[in-house]
Amino acid sequence: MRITLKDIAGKVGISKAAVSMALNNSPRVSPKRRDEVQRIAGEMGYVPDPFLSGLAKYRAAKGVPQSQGVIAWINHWDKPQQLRGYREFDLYWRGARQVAKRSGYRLEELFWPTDGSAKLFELTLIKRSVLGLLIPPHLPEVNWGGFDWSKFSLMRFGLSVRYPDSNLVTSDHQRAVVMAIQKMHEYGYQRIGLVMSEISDCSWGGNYSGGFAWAQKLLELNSALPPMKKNPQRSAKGIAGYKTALDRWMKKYQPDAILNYLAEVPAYLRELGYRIPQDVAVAGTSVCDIPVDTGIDQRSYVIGQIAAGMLIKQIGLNERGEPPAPVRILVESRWQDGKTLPSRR
Amino acid sequence: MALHDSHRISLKRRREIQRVAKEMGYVPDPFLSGLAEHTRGRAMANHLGVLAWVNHWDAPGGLRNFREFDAYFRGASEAAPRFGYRLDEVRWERDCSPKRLERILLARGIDGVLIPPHHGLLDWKDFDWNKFSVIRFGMSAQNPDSNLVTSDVFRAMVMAIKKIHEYGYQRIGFTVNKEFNQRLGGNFLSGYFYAQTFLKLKPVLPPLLTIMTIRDADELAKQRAALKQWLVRYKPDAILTADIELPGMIRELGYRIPQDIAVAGATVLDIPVDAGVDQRPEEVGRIAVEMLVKQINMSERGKPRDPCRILIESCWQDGHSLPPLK
Repeated sequence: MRITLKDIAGKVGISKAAVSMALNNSPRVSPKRRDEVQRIAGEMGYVPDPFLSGLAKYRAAKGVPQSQGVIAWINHWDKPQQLRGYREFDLYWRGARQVAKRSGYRLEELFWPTDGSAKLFELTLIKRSVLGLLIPPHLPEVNWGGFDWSKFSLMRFGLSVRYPDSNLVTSDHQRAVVMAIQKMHEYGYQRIGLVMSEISDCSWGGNYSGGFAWAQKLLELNSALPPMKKNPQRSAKGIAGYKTALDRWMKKYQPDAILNYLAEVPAYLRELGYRIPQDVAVAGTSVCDIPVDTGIDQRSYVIGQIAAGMLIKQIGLNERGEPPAPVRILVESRWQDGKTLPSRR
Repeated sequence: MALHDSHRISLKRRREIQRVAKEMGYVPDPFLSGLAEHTRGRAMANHLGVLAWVNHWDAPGGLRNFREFDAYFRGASEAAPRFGYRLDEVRWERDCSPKRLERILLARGIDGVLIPPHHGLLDWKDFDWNKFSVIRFGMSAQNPDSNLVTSDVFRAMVMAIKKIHEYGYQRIGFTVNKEFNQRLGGNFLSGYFYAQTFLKLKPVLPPLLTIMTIRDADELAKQRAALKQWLVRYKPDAILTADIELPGMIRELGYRIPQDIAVAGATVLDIPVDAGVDQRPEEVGRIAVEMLVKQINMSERGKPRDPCRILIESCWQDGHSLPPLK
């Protein structure tokens, strides 16, 4: 179902004409409004209708060749369609695509089958005039074979992909956790807990648990609850074991609010007989992919925009391969209010 | 120039040209943009563009007396010519209004502004940031809300505590100014607490939070007493510190470094011990210039809608003040 101007107008609450002007960068629209409309359009997956766009008609009539630089989003997942099945990663894609387009680049998702040779994939990219690569999250054990990164400008998303050691863009987890705990405290919760898996926390460098420990000290929370860090399991027996441990932790520490990282936990809590938010309020460390409506908005669309913008800047300076001093580009998260963690004040 | 929003053409004319270009189907051609930048760069070798390092310190000479900040400047000024720019320090005097500074910068043809660390809030009033690209360094300049280049303090803390632990120390402590840590978002303590958990340290020493500025003999005595109490109670065999005065105070209390207590600095340049974290300030300076030039190339001026923090990895530096025990 194609997203139309009408859909966007409805979502933003303005006329179709105003939406059209905003999408076309008309000076009659304030920059703030323009950015808002373009962002929402991007998130909704709006693509201008080529048959209606006068610009496209003009180009077709004149036979103007499209010599656009290409950026590739490389997908080396075992099941490639799962990557953008995660809303967070899909938003990275949409944000990146919006900036690429605005800057005169084409963003293409290029699939690299798991059993495909690195050399062959390199040749594919070169043949398609790819100048830079966006590397979305992959499992840490992803096998890049003998891929020669030095031929392309590089940008990674997130902390899951250890190598190539390129620049990367991610959300500022430590600050996000501190912000969230402060918010929950402001909302009147006294016994604030953190639920996350030890493996993930460690693999991301400890920003979550470190930020949590600091927030507890900052707010001088009398009842500094130790985090629930058990790793979740997939097997039926493992799940039962996890739920028992979760129940034990809940009964021992009696949190009135939890900042939660695991997608399965809200359901487990309900199964254990806890009502959300009446018995325990729950906020998510990400509002995508965790089934609670309150928590940290990591602004994944913006992360996508910034990743593409930075990659394009690198291409502009002809920076290819792993840089001598790779940097981490952190994007500030925001709080999102919702029903699963209402204010008590 | 109009398509790049150059401020040398009036706003009205710029908008007109952009509107016509759009109607004609003009799309920025990335190859041509790249070529233009390249040729601009070549031409610039003889006519360098200018970047400004704005210094608004009360005692402007004081900024670069901190070896760390001086290293920022050296890294930045050495990197600038590679991109076709020269870095000039511009002293913003106390009696000069922000608007006047803006005129000075424009008159000098400055495209981009670097803002090094400053204490307290800088009051930019009606300074028009839309005329410049801007980037901040370090964490203490809190405005304008631009992109910020700084070292990754959290990861540096984890790396340092891990190193000290590897060197065989068992009772590892940490000291930092309470206000400094908080102002910087708590990265020092977040990293310290995480390292303790991750390395499963036993015992777990609470950090010593020190007073920010010691104004008089009274505060000095209080600080010394608090330090003494902490040392006696927790008996650290190694301390990582972000406090310039700490090594001096420890010696004054009668402890020898490293024989009685080993000490490492959270930044080796300005803390008077030779072991600790090298925050690589020249690299920070270099990358700040690189990022600023990239912003200039993309005509990104003013305060970005989504400012980011750009973090640079620190590394460990060995020294006599914290030798390996094994």
